[in-house]
Amino acid sequence: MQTKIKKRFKLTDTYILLIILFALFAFFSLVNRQFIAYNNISTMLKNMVLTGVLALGLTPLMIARGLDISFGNSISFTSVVMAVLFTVGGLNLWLSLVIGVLVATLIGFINGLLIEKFDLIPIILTLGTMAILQALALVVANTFTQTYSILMLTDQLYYFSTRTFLKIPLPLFVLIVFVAIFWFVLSKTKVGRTIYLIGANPKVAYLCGVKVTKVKILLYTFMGFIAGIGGVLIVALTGVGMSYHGSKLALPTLSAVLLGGISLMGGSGSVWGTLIGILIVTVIFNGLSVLNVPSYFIQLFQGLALITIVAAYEIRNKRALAF
Amino acid sequence: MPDNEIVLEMSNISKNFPGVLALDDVSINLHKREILGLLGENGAGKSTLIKILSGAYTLEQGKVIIDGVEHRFSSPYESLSAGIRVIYQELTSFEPLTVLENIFAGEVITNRAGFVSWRKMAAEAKKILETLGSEINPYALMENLSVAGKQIVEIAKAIHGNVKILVMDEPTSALDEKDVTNLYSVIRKLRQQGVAIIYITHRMEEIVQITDRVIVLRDGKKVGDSKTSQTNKSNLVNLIVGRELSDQYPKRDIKKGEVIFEVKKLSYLNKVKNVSFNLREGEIVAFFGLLGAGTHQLFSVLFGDKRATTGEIYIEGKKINISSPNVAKKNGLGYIPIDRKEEGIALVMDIKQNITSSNIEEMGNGFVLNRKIENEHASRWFNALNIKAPSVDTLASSLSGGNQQKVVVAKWLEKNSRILLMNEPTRGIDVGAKAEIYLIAEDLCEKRVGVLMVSSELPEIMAISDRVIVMRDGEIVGQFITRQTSQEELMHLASV
Repeated sequence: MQTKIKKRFKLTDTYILLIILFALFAFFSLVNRQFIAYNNISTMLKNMVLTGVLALGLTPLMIARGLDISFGNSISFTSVVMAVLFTVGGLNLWLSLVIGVLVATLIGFINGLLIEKFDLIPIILTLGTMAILQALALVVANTFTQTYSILMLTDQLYYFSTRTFLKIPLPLFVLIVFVAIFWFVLSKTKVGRTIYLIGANPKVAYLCGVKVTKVKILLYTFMGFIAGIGGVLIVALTGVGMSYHGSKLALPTLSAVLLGGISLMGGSGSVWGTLIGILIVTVIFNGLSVLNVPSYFIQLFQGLALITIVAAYEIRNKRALAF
Repeated sequence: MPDNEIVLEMSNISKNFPGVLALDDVSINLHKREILGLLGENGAGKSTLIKILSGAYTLEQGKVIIDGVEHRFSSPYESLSAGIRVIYQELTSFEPLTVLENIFAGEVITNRAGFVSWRKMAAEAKKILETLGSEINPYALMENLSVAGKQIVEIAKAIHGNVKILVMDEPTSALDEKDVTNLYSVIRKLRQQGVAIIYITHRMEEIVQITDRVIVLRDGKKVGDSKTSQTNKSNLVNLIVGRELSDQYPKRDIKKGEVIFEVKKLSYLNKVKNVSFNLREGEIVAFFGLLGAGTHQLFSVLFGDKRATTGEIYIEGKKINISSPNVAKKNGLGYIPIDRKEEGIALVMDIKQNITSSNIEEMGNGFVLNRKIENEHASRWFNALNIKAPSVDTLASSLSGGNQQKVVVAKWLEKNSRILLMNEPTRGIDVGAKAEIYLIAEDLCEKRVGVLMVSSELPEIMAISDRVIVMRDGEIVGQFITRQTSQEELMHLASV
């Protein structure tokens, strides 16, 4: 009996999100035909890849009651590092990318180590790392090029960011592969179950013999790795490494994740929820820019959207408890 | 010494919780200038009675009359306004604030301009503290005071303003002898000033020394009410303990095997001191101690949740350094914590996920979680322990306390634990489920599992344990074969 009720609730959530998604899509299509033009859809999907991959990285971390808001600046920093290595240092392309990803992974590891070993509040610690990484990105870029943006143009990256396969932009395949991996790990493996258990109640998990600290440090490290992948994507899509690349990524990414049903209290959420969250956020912002809404209004809307999402879930949860 | 005037009359109070009748037609009265001792085991109904008086629970059946006026409190605020103050066992002071701020928490004295007048408040605080015979500086930080000092401040906070009835819940549990004497003189002073006091304790000695009259509760009923001078300790212990559970749950004669668990000179800070004991296959060893005796800490250390300061633990003859619950689990230990909802069960997960949570690594080959295997394993325990729920997919939060506890037990059965640590395994669960937990423990013994148990319920200890170890102030003060001792003897030893 109870289970049925629970399942119905969950389905309702996903349905509501899907309905919102289609409604938005229909609205923007009707208001402006340009919105459903192949070119726009293709750009939109390409733009979605970056926030999408990041939102996926946040999903297991936040299910296990962790949080990282420094990934945007980690992307800025790694993009600069990769561009400096390649363009200034003349290093091989692949090696530059690999080193960039490793640097980002290390940053994630340090975040996790500090948060878990010293029991710090994740949002505050990563706020600190955020500032440090922003500064480092500027320092590195300035030291080597006296600017904050460094070209990194290669045939391979250009090919990757502009070609399609079966009319689907190549970067989108990266997102598809990551969705598959995350879905599999979270819902089909023992590691996935352990992550949910930690999120449901870390003390219970610990007393069940789960190495909570170790798992969480790994999740932070993995989030770092994902930020590194984000760095590669952004360099490929734009052709530059830039100190401000990622500084505006935290807001839409977190909005997408929270909209998808992940709670700051941990224990809930899924890859499908996150995916729908990403789609909704992308459709809204692309739709608004197609309508030529000025960017400061879009930012205003981003803030409002985040607050609305969090409030809506909170009200819903209180109602659910009242029964 | 008490006046004849009655300040408080609680008559025919009953209180129902799902599955438990916490208070059953209890009537008490309290005179002006009287110190009334309230006695009873855990779960006897003392706290429920006090919570009704303090407005934390609403009154459902019965009457509360204070100074001749009937009251029906719907919030603690109304109870405070009626002159009732409760000092809880776990002190509720604001540690980083000053004594002064603690005394006047929630209210301030202002000067004519409407600003807070610290000077006036400090003078007032000093005056109150002086009437209590204390020289604590009103500007001292709460966290720097001794437990006794904090207690005095709590009393000062409670009595400033209009106080008629003061309830003190185990006020001496963390005090040493000198402080206790001090506290007594404060209490007597309050009595002189016309306050009526309800004094809750486990310790017989205190009842004899400080109270005028004593009321005993047992299983939600009042079983004794007499002048302290007309009763004695052993009489009171008999009233507190009363029932014999062992008649209802005859202990099976199970053959004991080898020693599987041995602890040598284990210490943890100053909470557990130099504890040594052993456990055999098929044996149930119970630990009994009052609050602060160190039994809970001992179990936390044994399962690796806290690290022992010194001492050795042997499992099946092998010395093991239990540095984490993970190590404990791998060496065959299972743990049923005292705080089920915070530490025992993940409420937002379902029954099967909880049952297999100790054994995720065995749910299929490699890193894939095999849901079919998980379902089979969980269903097996679900049926064997007779967990009452629609299916293994039911959320843990929708289960009753007793069924939740069975899920926690199932978790360690699933892991095939050889040594089970049960910390107050039947706390807050109904009588039926209690009996089932006892049966499970005995079934385990037949499968050569060893069970260690902490319990504050003597009838339970008498009913299911083979041996009982009494602790006091972190030390073992007695070990008995359960059949050769009595509840009275154990209670005496624990509470001296």
